[in-house]
Amino acid sequence: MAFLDIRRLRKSYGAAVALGGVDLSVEEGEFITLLGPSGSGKTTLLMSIAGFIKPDEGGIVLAGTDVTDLEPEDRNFGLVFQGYALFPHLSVRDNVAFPLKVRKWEKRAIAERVEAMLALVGLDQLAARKPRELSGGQQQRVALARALAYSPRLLLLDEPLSALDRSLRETMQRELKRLHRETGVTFIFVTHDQEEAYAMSDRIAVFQNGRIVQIGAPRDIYRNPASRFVAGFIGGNNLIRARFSPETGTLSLLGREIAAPQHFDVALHHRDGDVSAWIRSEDIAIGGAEAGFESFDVTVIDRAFIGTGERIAVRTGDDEELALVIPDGAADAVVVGAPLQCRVRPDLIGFLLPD
Amino acid sequence: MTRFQRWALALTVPAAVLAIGLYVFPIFQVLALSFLEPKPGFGNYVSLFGNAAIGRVVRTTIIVSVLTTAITVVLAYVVAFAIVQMPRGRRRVALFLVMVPFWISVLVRAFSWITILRRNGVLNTVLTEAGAISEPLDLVYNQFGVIVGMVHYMMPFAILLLVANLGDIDRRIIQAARSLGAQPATVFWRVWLPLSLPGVSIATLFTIIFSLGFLVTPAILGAGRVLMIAEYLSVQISSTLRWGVATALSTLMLVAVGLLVAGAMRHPAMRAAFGGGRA
Ligand SMILES: Nc1ncnc2c1ncn2[C@@H]1O[C@H](COP(=O)(O)OP(=O)(O)OP(=O)(O)O)[C@@H](O)[C@H]1O
Ligand SMILES: [Mg+2]
Repeated sequence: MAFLDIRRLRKSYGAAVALGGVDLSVEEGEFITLLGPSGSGKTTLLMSIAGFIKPDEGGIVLAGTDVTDLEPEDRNFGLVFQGYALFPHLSVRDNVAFPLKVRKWEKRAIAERVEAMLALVGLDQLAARKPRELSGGQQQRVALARALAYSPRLLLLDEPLSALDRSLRETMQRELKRLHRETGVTFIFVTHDQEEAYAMSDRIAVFQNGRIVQIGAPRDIYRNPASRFVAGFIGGNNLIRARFSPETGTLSLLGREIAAPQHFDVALHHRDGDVSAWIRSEDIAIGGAEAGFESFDVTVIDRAFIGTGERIAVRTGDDEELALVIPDGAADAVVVGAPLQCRVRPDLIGFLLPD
Repeated sequence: MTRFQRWALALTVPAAVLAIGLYVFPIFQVLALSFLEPKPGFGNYVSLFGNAAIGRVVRTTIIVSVLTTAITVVLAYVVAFAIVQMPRGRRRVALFLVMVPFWISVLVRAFSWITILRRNGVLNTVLTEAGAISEPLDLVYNQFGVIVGMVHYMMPFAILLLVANLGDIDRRIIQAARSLGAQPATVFWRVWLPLSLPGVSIATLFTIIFSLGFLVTPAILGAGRVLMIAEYLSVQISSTLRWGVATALSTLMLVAVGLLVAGAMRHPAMRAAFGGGRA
């Protein structure tokens, strides 16, 4: 049995289904991310785990103990809120000491642990400040130190980095990963930023309309999205429509007729000839045919500098819009409105099960 | 100044004229009278301090006001705390009920308390018939009755002030406390109460200032036996015509309230309540 077992969790608000039967198993020490669009039920699941939301159905088992009916204060989980939720009337030191005082630790033990926690998050110099005298990133660290001070077995984080600017975010991502490594605590982390999810997680659970539609390692999710929704939600994918002709065994896509690649499963991947496929932006290159590639003609509709390179939007002969990412400098010949030739390796085209 | 600001300023003029004409000017008149009646000098003020009757009135006023304020704020806190926990719909009904007394005149409310509290009133009858007491209790025409009436009068104000403050407290901070393992009592004493200090202090200040000037309720429920400053002043002005003493006492009270407010404003919680936001 897994460390944390969530079984058929359901929660509705009137007619609105926030959780539609969620199953999730988390191993001890794992860093798992709940990823999904706004309103897909991530916070509802996290708050159900924390005990603030009572599920209509289903149960939560932690290390063999059913905690479904425990009050939040009795669960001994750490929780970091999006807005930090620090105690405004207490100093940084007293914020971190709060959970320890509540647990009636000895004064000396509290002082020592608070020192250690503040050192861990690099705030030892600011212990006497009030939360409002701290920057967003510093408040975030206090919230982390406070939630980890009593060595909870499980730390729940609801979009803890979404209010921070990009560079601070990356620092805090590293910080969180380090804390995860050093404490060995199980992390359940909510975000709707997929890059953040990729960068931090052992596994990602993708949410759609109150359900987990795919769960797996970041690479698996990126390489093998399970549905059209996941393929579209994971950035950098172009979703395209294709047609399969059983007589010739060919696919018509991108305005071309090509032989169906090896991994195209005739039995699985089409319904009455309609095929959903996806191609990653970085897998499309500019240029004519080469061995192992199929080329196709497009019209350039936009080009945008994105720092590491350029993102070029094109329209294919069969009126699909594609985005491709190419290294900076390789796009000199690209003119908006002009025709262009692109190529792709058929074995990198992904096919989705019909939904 | 933009056109809008000029307009906004113009709109405040009538209120300012009224306030100066009906408020500031009479206050200066009172001040002047206290030094001029019946003859110029500090005579009125000197006589205030030697006067045992006035000493008693001031003492009664302070005792009644402080007790009223303490009871009002504690009870109002309980009610406000319950109201902010209610779901939206029920909260609206509760706030509506809190405001009902505003529509009933002070006089009616005072006389209703008499019917309830007098010796053969509703409460004593019920208690006697239930066998809880053998002799009717003296519940009115004394300090107890006055305080009951004043607390009843002040409760809605204090409740509304506290609901506004408690409703503003970020629920996630409360949830954070619970997630950190704090049991309900700890959450209340360590988080709710400190965070509601601005509201408590403004409700306290408001109630005590209001209580110091109560006239109708103590006059009716005290029936002359619980004499507070306002009633004493009214007697001096309308019956005994000792304007000099009355205006001197009023001036002293104004100064006392002014000092009270000024002192309270030095407290950080109070400054936060007044929108400084820097508790
Ligand atoms: N108290 C509530 N009353 C009614 N509906 C609610 C309530 N809380 C959540 N919902 C609904 O439940 C669904 C899931 O909400 P939830 O907050 O879990 O989404 P989320 O995935 O965390 O979204 P976000 O990324 O925007 O935070 C939403 O459709 C939301 O409108
Ligand atoms: Mg959310």
